[in-house]
Amino acid sequence: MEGEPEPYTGISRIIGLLKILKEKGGASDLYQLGVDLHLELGEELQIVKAAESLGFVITPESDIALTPLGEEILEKDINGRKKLIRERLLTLPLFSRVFEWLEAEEEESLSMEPLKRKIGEAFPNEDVDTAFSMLVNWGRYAELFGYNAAREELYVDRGV
Amino acid sequence: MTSRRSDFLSLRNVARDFTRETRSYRAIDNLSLDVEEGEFVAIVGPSGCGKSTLLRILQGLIPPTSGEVFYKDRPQDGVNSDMAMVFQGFALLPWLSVRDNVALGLVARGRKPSEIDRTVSFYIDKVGLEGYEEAYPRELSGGMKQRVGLARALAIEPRILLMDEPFSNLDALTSVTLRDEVLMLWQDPEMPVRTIIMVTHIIEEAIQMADRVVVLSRRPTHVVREIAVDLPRPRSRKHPEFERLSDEIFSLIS
Repeated sequence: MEGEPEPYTGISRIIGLLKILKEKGGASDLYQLGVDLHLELGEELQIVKAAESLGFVITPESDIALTPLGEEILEKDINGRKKLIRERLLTLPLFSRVFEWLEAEEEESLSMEPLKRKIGEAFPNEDVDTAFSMLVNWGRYAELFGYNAAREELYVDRGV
Repeated sequence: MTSRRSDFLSLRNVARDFTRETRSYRAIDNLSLDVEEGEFVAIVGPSGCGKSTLLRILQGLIPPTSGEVFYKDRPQDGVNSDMAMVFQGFALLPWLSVRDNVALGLVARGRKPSEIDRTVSFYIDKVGLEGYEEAYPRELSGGMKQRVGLARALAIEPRILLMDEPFSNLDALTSVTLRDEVLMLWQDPEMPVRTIIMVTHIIEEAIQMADRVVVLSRRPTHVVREIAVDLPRPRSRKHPEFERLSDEIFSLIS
Protein backbone atom coordinates (compact mmCIF):
# COMPACT_ATOMS: atom_id res chain seq x y z
CA MET A 1 0.00 0.00 0.00
CA GLU A 2 1.29 3.40 -1.00
CA GLY A 3 0.15 5.46 1.93
CA GLU A 4 1.30 8.94 2.68
CA PRO A 5 4.22 8.59 5.04
CA GLU A 6 4.62 12.37 4.95
CA PRO A 7 3.48 14.46 7.89
CA TYR A 8 1.27 16.60 5.63
CA THR A 9 -1.95 15.55 3.90
CA GLY A 10 -1.92 15.27 0.11
CA ILE A 11 -4.52 17.23 -1.85
CA SER A 12 -5.91 14.01 -3.40
CA ARG A 13 -6.87 12.76 0.04
CA ILE A 14 -8.54 16.04 0.91
CA ILE A 15 -10.64 15.93 -2.27
CA GLY A 16 -11.45 12.28 -1.56
CA LEU A 17 -12.72 13.29 1.87
CA LEU A 18 -14.90 16.03 0.36
CA LYS A 19 -16.37 13.56 -2.14
CA ILE A 20 -17.23 11.06 0.59
CA LEU A 21 -18.85 13.85 2.61
CA LYS A 22 -20.87 14.90 -0.42
CA GLU A 23 -22.12 11.32 -0.79
CA LYS A 24 -23.22 11.43 2.82
CA GLY A 25 -25.36 14.46 2.09
CA GLY A 26 -22.71 17.08 2.88
CA ALA A 27 -22.26 16.43 6.59
CA SER A 28 -21.36 13.67 9.02
CA ASP A 29 -20.47 12.90 12.56
CA LEU A 30 -16.65 13.08 12.77
CA TYR A 31 -16.35 9.88 14.74
CA GLN A 32 -18.66 7.94 12.40
CA LEU A 33 -16.79 9.24 9.35
CA GLY A 34 -13.50 7.91 10.74
CA VAL A 35 -15.10 4.51 11.40
CA ASP A 36 -16.57 4.38 7.87
CA LEU A 37 -13.21 5.25 6.31
CA HIS A 38 -11.21 2.93 8.59
CA LEU A 39 -9.04 5.86 9.64
CA GLU A 40 -7.33 6.20 12.97
CA LEU A 41 -8.51 9.26 14.84
CA GLY A 42 -5.14 11.04 14.57
CA GLU A 43 -4.97 10.46 10.83
CA GLU A 44 -8.57 11.51 10.31
CA LEU A 45 -8.08 14.73 12.26
CA GLN A 46 -4.97 15.56 10.24
CA ILE A 47 -6.93 15.29 6.97
CA VAL A 48 -9.90 17.18 8.40
CA LYS A 49 -7.65 19.95 9.71
CA ALA A 50 -6.00 20.29 6.32
CA ALA A 51 -9.40 20.51 4.57
CA GLU A 52 -10.54 23.05 7.15
CA SER A 53 -7.43 25.20 6.73
CA LEU A 54 -8.26 25.47 3.02
CA GLY A 55 -11.86 26.46 3.80
CA PHE A 56 -13.52 23.32 2.39
CA VAL A 57 -15.12 22.04 5.60
CA ILE A 58 -16.21 23.33 8.99
CA THR A 59 -16.23 21.28 12.17
CA PRO A 60 -18.89 22.51 14.57
CA GLU A 61 -18.89 20.47 17.79
CA SER A 62 -18.11 16.86 16.83
CA ASP A 63 -19.53 17.14 13.31
CA ILE A 64 -18.03 17.92 9.93
CA ALA A 65 -19.80 19.69 7.06
CA LEU A 66 -18.89 20.82 3.54
CA THR A 67 -18.71 24.58 3.00
CA PRO A 68 -19.96 26.16 -0.26
CA LEU A 69 -16.29 26.25 -1.33
CA GLY A 70 -16.00 22.53 -0.58
CA GLU A 71 -19.05 21.91 -2.81
CA GLU A 72 -17.57 24.18 -5.48
CA ILE A 73 -14.25 22.36 -5.81
CA LEU A 74 -16.05 19.04 -6.40
CA GLU A 75 -17.91 20.56 -9.35
CA LYS A 76 -14.67 21.58 -11.06
CA ASP A 77 -12.52 19.64 -13.51
CA ILE A 78 -8.94 18.61 -12.76
CA ASN A 79 -7.35 21.95 -13.64
CA GLY A 80 -10.21 23.95 -12.14
CA ARG A 81 -9.47 22.22 -8.84
CA LYS A 82 -5.80 23.16 -9.06
CA LYS A 83 -6.67 26.80 -9.73
CA LEU A 84 -9.02 26.98 -6.77
CA ILE A 85 -6.41 25.39 -4.48
CA ARG A 86 -3.91 27.99 -5.67
CA GLU A 87 -6.28 30.80 -4.69
CA ARG A 88 -6.86 29.18 -1.31
CA LEU A 89 -3.13 28.66 -0.63
CA LEU A 90 -2.48 32.35 -1.13
CA THR A 91 -4.88 33.09 1.74
CA LEU A 92 -2.72 31.01 4.14
CA PRO A 93 -0.10 33.08 5.99
CA LEU A 94 2.66 30.48 5.45
CA PHE A 95 2.13 30.30 1.69
CA SER A 96 1.60 34.01 1.12
CA ARG A 97 4.68 34.95 3.16
CA VAL A 98 6.90 32.43 1.40
CA PHE A 99 5.51 33.62 -1.94
CA GLU A 100 6.51 37.21 -1.02
CA TRP A 101 9.99 36.11 0.07
CA LEU A 102 10.57 34.22 -3.17
CA GLU A 103 9.27 37.07 -5.31
CA ALA A 104 11.72 39.41 -3.59
CA GLU A 105 14.66 37.24 -4.68
CA GLU A 106 16.34 38.00 -8.00
CA GLU A 107 15.81 34.43 -9.30
CA GLU A 108 12.53 34.08 -7.40
CA SER A 109 14.04 31.11 -5.56
CA LEU A 110 15.48 30.19 -2.15
CA SER A 111 17.50 27.23 -0.96
CA MET A 112 15.89 24.85 1.48
CA GLU A 113 18.05 25.56 4.53
CA PRO A 114 17.85 29.38 4.54
CA LEU A 115 14.14 29.11 3.76
CA LYS A 116 13.56 26.74 6.69
CA ARG A 117 15.42 29.21 8.97
CA LYS A 118 13.18 32.05 7.82
CA ILE A 119 10.06 29.93 8.36
CA GLY A 120 11.27 29.02 11.86
CA GLU A 121 11.73 32.70 12.72
CA ALA A 122 8.45 33.94 11.22
CA PHE A 123 6.28 30.99 12.30
CA PRO A 124 7.70 29.77 15.62
CA ASN A 125 4.69 27.50 16.17
CA GLU A 126 5.13 25.56 12.92
CA ASP A 127 7.21 22.43 12.55
CA VAL A 128 9.57 23.65 9.85
CA ASP A 129 10.08 20.27 8.17
CA THR A 130 6.33 19.68 7.89
CA ALA A 131 5.83 23.24 6.69
CA PHE A 132 8.50 22.80 4.04
CA SER A 133 7.00 19.50 2.80
CA MET A 134 3.63 21.22 2.52
CA LEU A 135 5.08 24.15 0.61
CA VAL A 136 6.67 21.76 -1.89
CA ASN A 137 3.72 19.41 -2.30
CA TRP A 138 0.71 21.70 -2.14
CA GLY A 139 2.73 24.35 -3.96
CA ARG A 140 3.53 21.97 -6.82
CA TYR A 141 -0.06 20.76 -7.05
CA ALA A 142 -1.34 24.33 -7.28
CA GLU A 143 1.45 25.35 -9.66
CA LEU A 144 2.36 28.06 -7.19
CA PHE A 145 5.84 26.80 -6.33
CA GLY A 146 8.31 24.55 -8.09
CA TYR A 147 11.01 22.57 -6.31
CA ASN A 148 14.30 21.38 -7.71
CA ALA A 149 15.36 18.42 -5.56
CA ALA A 150 18.93 18.29 -6.95
CA ARG A 151 19.58 21.94 -6.07
CA GLU A 152 17.21 21.86 -3.05
CA GLU A 153 15.58 25.07 -4.22
CA LEU A 154 12.02 26.27 -3.95
CA TYR A 155 10.96 28.76 -6.63
CA VAL A 156 7.93 30.60 -7.96
CA ASP A 157 6.29 28.48 -10.68
CA ARG A 158 5.86 30.79 -13.66
CA GLY A 159 4.80 27.91 -15.90
CA VAL A 160 7.81 28.05 -18.21
CA MET B 1 -22.30 -16.13 -24.87
CA THR B 2 -23.04 -16.92 -28.48
CA SER B 3 -23.86 -13.32 -29.34
CA ARG B 4 -22.68 -11.63 -32.52
CA ARG B 5 -18.98 -10.95 -32.56
CA SER B 6 -18.11 -7.28 -32.03
CA ASP B 7 -16.27 -5.79 -34.97
CA PHE B 8 -14.21 -3.67 -32.54
CA LEU B 9 -12.68 -6.05 -29.99
CA SER B 10 -13.62 -9.64 -29.45
CA LEU B 11 -12.25 -12.69 -27.69
CA ARG B 12 -13.62 -15.98 -28.97
CA ASN B 13 -13.34 -19.21 -26.97
CA VAL B 14 -9.98 -18.21 -25.58
CA ALA B 15 -8.03 -20.69 -23.46
CA ARG B 16 -4.64 -20.29 -21.88
CA ASP B 17 -2.48 -22.97 -20.27
CA PHE B 18 0.52 -22.45 -18.07
CA THR B 19 3.16 -24.89 -16.96
CA ARG B 20 4.50 -24.89 -13.44
CA GLU B 21 7.19 -27.42 -12.45
CA THR B 22 6.38 -29.72 -15.37
CA ARG B 23 2.67 -29.68 -14.51
CA SER B 24 0.36 -27.94 -16.90
CA TYR B 25 -2.81 -26.22 -15.74
CA ARG B 26 -5.54 -24.28 -17.50
CA ALA B 27 -5.84 -20.67 -16.30
CA ILE B 28 -8.49 -19.52 -18.77
CA ASP B 29 -10.99 -21.75 -20.53
CA ASN B 30 -13.52 -21.06 -23.26
CA LEU B 31 -13.70 -17.35 -22.53
CA SER B 32 -15.60 -15.14 -24.94
CA LEU B 33 -15.92 -11.40 -24.50
CA ASP B 34 -16.91 -8.50 -26.75
CA VAL B 35 -16.11 -4.83 -26.25
CA GLU B 36 -17.59 -2.02 -28.31
CA GLU B 37 -15.71 1.18 -29.02
CA GLY B 38 -16.54 3.86 -26.43
CA GLU B 39 -17.41 1.39 -23.68
CA PHE B 40 -16.04 1.36 -20.16
CA VAL B 41 -15.87 -2.30 -19.19
CA ALA B 42 -14.87 -3.54 -15.75
CA ILE B 43 -13.69 -7.11 -15.26
CA VAL B 44 -14.13 -8.54 -11.77
CA GLY B 45 -13.48 -11.98 -10.38
CA PRO B 46 -12.08 -13.86 -7.42
CA SER B 47 -8.40 -13.30 -6.71
CA GLY B 48 -6.06 -15.46 -8.73
CA CYS B 49 -8.68 -16.07 -11.41
CA GLY B 50 -6.52 -14.84 -14.25
CA LYS B 51 -7.82 -11.29 -14.70
CA SER B 52 -4.37 -9.88 -15.37
CA THR B 53 -3.59 -12.76 -17.74
CA LEU B 54 -6.70 -11.84 -19.66
CA LEU B 55 -5.53 -8.23 -20.03
CA ARG B 56 -2.18 -9.45 -21.33
CA ILE B 57 -3.87 -11.68 -23.88
CA LEU B 58 -6.00 -8.72 -24.96
CA GLN B 59 -2.92 -6.58 -25.48
CA GLY B 60 -1.17 -9.38 -27.33
CA LEU B 61 1.65 -9.67 -24.82
CA ILE B 62 0.95 -13.39 -24.43
CA PRO B 63 -0.85 -15.53 -27.00
CA PRO B 64 -3.87 -17.66 -26.13
CA THR B 65 -3.28 -21.42 -26.18
CA SER B 66 -6.41 -21.74 -28.26
CA GLY B 67 -9.18 -19.43 -29.44
CA GLU B 68 -8.82 -16.07 -31.11
CA VAL B 69 -8.64 -12.35 -30.43
CA PHE B 70 -10.18 -10.11 -33.09
CA TYR B 71 -9.43 -6.40 -33.26
CA LYS B 72 -11.22 -4.22 -35.78
CA ASP B 73 -12.66 -7.38 -37.30
CA ARG B 74 -9.28 -9.02 -37.97
CA PRO B 75 -7.42 -11.68 -36.02
CA GLN B 76 -4.90 -9.98 -33.75
CA ASP B 77 -1.31 -11.03 -34.26
CA GLY B 78 1.32 -9.81 -31.78
CA VAL B 79 1.23 -6.74 -29.58
CA ASN B 80 -1.63 -4.33 -30.26
CA SER B 81 -0.14 -0.84 -30.53
CA ASP B 82 -3.59 0.75 -30.16
CA MET B 83 -3.63 -0.27 -26.49
CA ALA B 84 -1.80 1.09 -23.46
CA MET B 85 -1.71 -0.24 -19.91
CA VAL B 86 -1.92 1.42 -16.51
CA PHE B 87 -0.33 -0.83 -13.89
CA GLN B 88 -1.22 -1.47 -10.27
CA GLY B 89 2.35 -0.80 -9.13
CA PHE B 90 2.75 2.32 -11.34
CA ALA B 91 5.86 0.89 -13.11
CA LEU B 92 7.76 4.18 -13.13
CA LEU B 93 11.49 4.43 -13.72
CA PRO B 94 12.92 5.97 -10.53
CA TRP B 95 15.87 7.64 -12.26
CA LEU B 96 13.66 9.56 -14.68
CA SER B 97 11.73 12.74 -13.94
CA VAL B 98 7.94 12.87 -14.24
CA ARG B 99 8.30 14.42 -17.68
CA ASP B 100 10.69 11.74 -18.93
CA ASN B 101 8.55 8.94 -17.49
CA VAL B 102 5.53 10.29 -19.36
CA ALA B 103 7.61 10.52 -22.56
CA LEU B 104 8.81 6.89 -22.35
CA GLY B 105 6.27 5.32 -24.68
CA LEU B 106 6.71 8.04 -27.28
CA VAL B 107 10.51 7.79 -27.19
CA ALA B 108 10.22 4.00 -27.61
CA ARG B 109 8.04 4.60 -30.66
CA GLY B 110 10.69 6.84 -32.20
CA ARG B 111 8.58 10.01 -32.34
CA LYS B 112 10.23 13.35 -33.16
CA PRO B 113 11.46 15.36 -30.13
CA SER B 114 9.20 18.33 -30.97
CA GLU B 115 6.16 16.06 -31.17
CA ILE B 116 7.15 14.28 -27.93
CA ASP B 117 7.46 17.64 -26.21
CA ARG B 118 4.07 18.84 -27.35
CA THR B 119 2.25 15.59 -26.59
CA VAL B 120 3.86 15.14 -23.17
CA SER B 121 2.95 18.70 -22.16
CA PHE B 122 -0.65 18.15 -23.25
CA TYR B 123 -1.14 14.99 -21.19
CA ILE B 124 0.76 16.29 -18.18
CA ASP B 125 -1.70 19.18 -18.16
CA LYS B 126 -4.72 16.92 -18.68
CA VAL B 127 -4.04 14.62 -15.74
CA GLY B 128 -3.16 17.53 -13.46
CA LEU B 129 0.59 16.97 -13.25
CA GLU B 130 1.67 20.46 -14.25
CA GLY B 131 4.02 21.69 -11.56
CA TYR B 132 5.52 18.21 -11.07
CA GLU B 133 7.42 17.93 -14.36
CA GLU B 134 10.89 17.89 -12.84
CA ALA B 135 10.00 15.84 -9.78
CA TYR B 136 11.24 12.25 -9.45
CA PRO B 137 8.97 9.33 -8.48
CA ARG B 138 10.44 9.17 -4.93
CA GLU B 139 9.16 12.71 -4.31
CA LEU B 140 5.59 11.78 -5.21
CA SER B 141 2.66 10.38 -3.25
CA GLY B 142 0.97 7.23 -4.59
CA GLY B 143 -1.79 9.27 -6.18
CA MET B 144 0.67 11.42 -8.07
CA LYS B 145 2.64 8.36 -9.16
CA GLN B 146 -0.48 6.83 -10.65
CA ARG B 147 -1.25 10.10 -12.47
CA VAL B 148 2.19 9.72 -14.08
CA GLY B 149 1.31 6.13 -15.04
CA LEU B 150 -1.95 7.38 -16.51
CA ALA B 151 -0.33 10.25 -18.44
CA ARG B 152 2.29 7.88 -19.84
CA ALA B 153 -0.39 5.49 -21.09
CA LEU B 154 -2.54 8.31 -22.52
CA ALA B 155 0.42 9.99 -24.22
CA ILE B 156 0.72 7.28 -26.85
CA GLU B 157 -2.91 8.11 -27.69
CA PRO B 158 -4.24 4.57 -27.53
CA ARG B 159 -7.73 3.72 -28.71
CA ILE B 160 -8.12 1.37 -25.77
CA LEU B 161 -6.84 1.99 -22.27
CA LEU B 162 -6.23 -1.13 -20.18
CA MET B 163 -6.08 -0.69 -16.43
CA ASP B 164 -4.88 -3.47 -14.16
CA GLU B 165 -6.13 -2.81 -10.61
CA PRO B 166 -5.11 0.84 -11.02
CA PHE B 167 -6.27 2.07 -7.62
CA SER B 168 -5.50 -0.85 -5.34
CA ASN B 169 -2.09 0.48 -4.28
CA LEU B 170 -3.64 3.76 -3.12
CA ASP B 171 -5.24 4.67 0.18
CA ALA B 172 -9.05 4.83 0.20
CA LEU B 173 -9.42 8.62 -0.05
CA THR B 174 -6.85 8.99 -2.83
CA SER B 175 -8.54 6.26 -4.86
CA VAL B 176 -11.90 8.06 -4.54
CA THR B 177 -10.30 11.12 -6.13
CA LEU B 178 -8.47 9.21 -8.87
CA ARG B 179 -11.57 7.25 -9.91
CA ASP B 180 -13.36 10.55 -10.27
CA GLU B 181 -10.54 11.97 -12.38
CA VAL B 182 -10.31 8.93 -14.66
CA LEU B 183 -14.04 9.26 -15.36
CA MET B 184 -13.54 12.97 -16.12
CA LEU B 185 -10.77 12.12 -18.59
CA TRP B 186 -12.85 9.38 -20.23
CA GLN B 187 -15.70 11.86 -20.74
CA ASP B 188 -13.39 14.66 -21.91
CA PRO B 189 -13.98 15.26 -25.66
CA GLU B 190 -10.31 16.24 -26.09
CA MET B 191 -9.19 12.75 -25.09
CA PRO B 192 -8.71 10.39 -28.03
CA VAL B 193 -9.14 7.29 -25.86
CA ARG B 194 -12.79 6.26 -25.81
CA THR B 195 -12.62 2.69 -24.60
CA ILE B 196 -11.47 1.54 -21.18
CA ILE B 197 -11.10 -2.01 -19.92
CA MET B 198 -10.35 -2.15 -16.21
CA VAL B 199 -9.59 -5.15 -14.07
CA THR B 200 -10.48 -4.78 -10.41
CA HIS B 201 -11.32 -6.91 -7.41
CA ILE B 202 -13.36 -4.10 -5.84
CA ILE B 203 -17.01 -4.60 -6.81
CA GLU B 204 -17.99 -1.10 -5.77
CA GLU B 205 -15.31 0.40 -7.99
CA ALA B 206 -16.58 -1.57 -10.99
CA ILE B 207 -20.19 -0.43 -10.49
CA GLN B 208 -19.16 3.14 -9.80
CA MET B 209 -17.20 3.48 -13.03
CA ALA B 210 -18.17 1.02 -15.75
CA ASP B 211 -20.94 0.73 -18.33
CA ARG B 212 -20.75 -3.03 -18.02
CA VAL B 213 -19.30 -5.40 -15.45
CA VAL B 214 -17.95 -8.73 -16.64
CA VAL B 215 -17.87 -11.28 -13.83
CA LEU B 216 -15.32 -14.07 -14.13
CA SER B 217 -15.32 -17.47 -12.46
CA ARG B 218 -12.54 -19.15 -10.53
CA ARG B 219 -9.85 -20.97 -12.52
CA PRO B 220 -10.16 -22.17 -15.19
CA THR B 221 -11.67 -18.76 -15.84
CA HIS B 222 -14.65 -18.05 -18.02
CA VAL B 223 -17.32 -15.36 -18.08
CA VAL B 224 -20.05 -16.09 -15.53
CA ARG B 225 -22.26 -13.09 -16.25
CA GLU B 226 -22.18 -9.69 -17.91
CA ILE B 227 -24.09 -7.00 -16.08
CA ALA B 228 -25.00 -3.64 -17.63
CA VAL B 229 -24.87 -0.69 -15.24
CA ASP B 230 -27.51 1.82 -16.33
CA LEU B 231 -27.18 4.24 -13.44
CA PRO B 232 -26.44 7.89 -14.29
CA ARG B 233 -23.02 9.25 -13.26
CA PRO B 234 -21.88 10.36 -10.73
CA ARG B 235 -23.18 7.21 -9.10
CA SER B 236 -24.13 7.03 -5.48
CA ARG B 237 -23.40 3.90 -3.50
CA LYS B 238 -26.61 4.59 -1.59
CA HIS B 239 -28.78 4.12 -4.70
CA PRO B 240 -30.91 0.95 -4.26
CA GLU B 241 -29.91 -0.30 -7.73
CA PHE B 242 -26.23 0.18 -6.83
CA GLU B 243 -26.75 -2.00 -3.76
CA ARG B 244 -28.68 -4.59 -5.74
CA LEU B 245 -25.92 -4.85 -8.36
CA SER B 246 -23.32 -5.06 -5.62
CA ASP B 247 -25.15 -7.97 -3.99
CA GLU B 248 -25.64 -9.72 -7.32
CA ILE B 249 -21.95 -9.54 -8.23
CA PHE B 250 -20.85 -10.46 -4.73
CA SER B 251 -22.98 -13.61 -4.78
CA LEU B 252 -21.49 -14.61 -8.14
CA ILE B 253 -17.91 -14.23 -6.93
CA SER B 254 -18.14 -15.66 -3.45
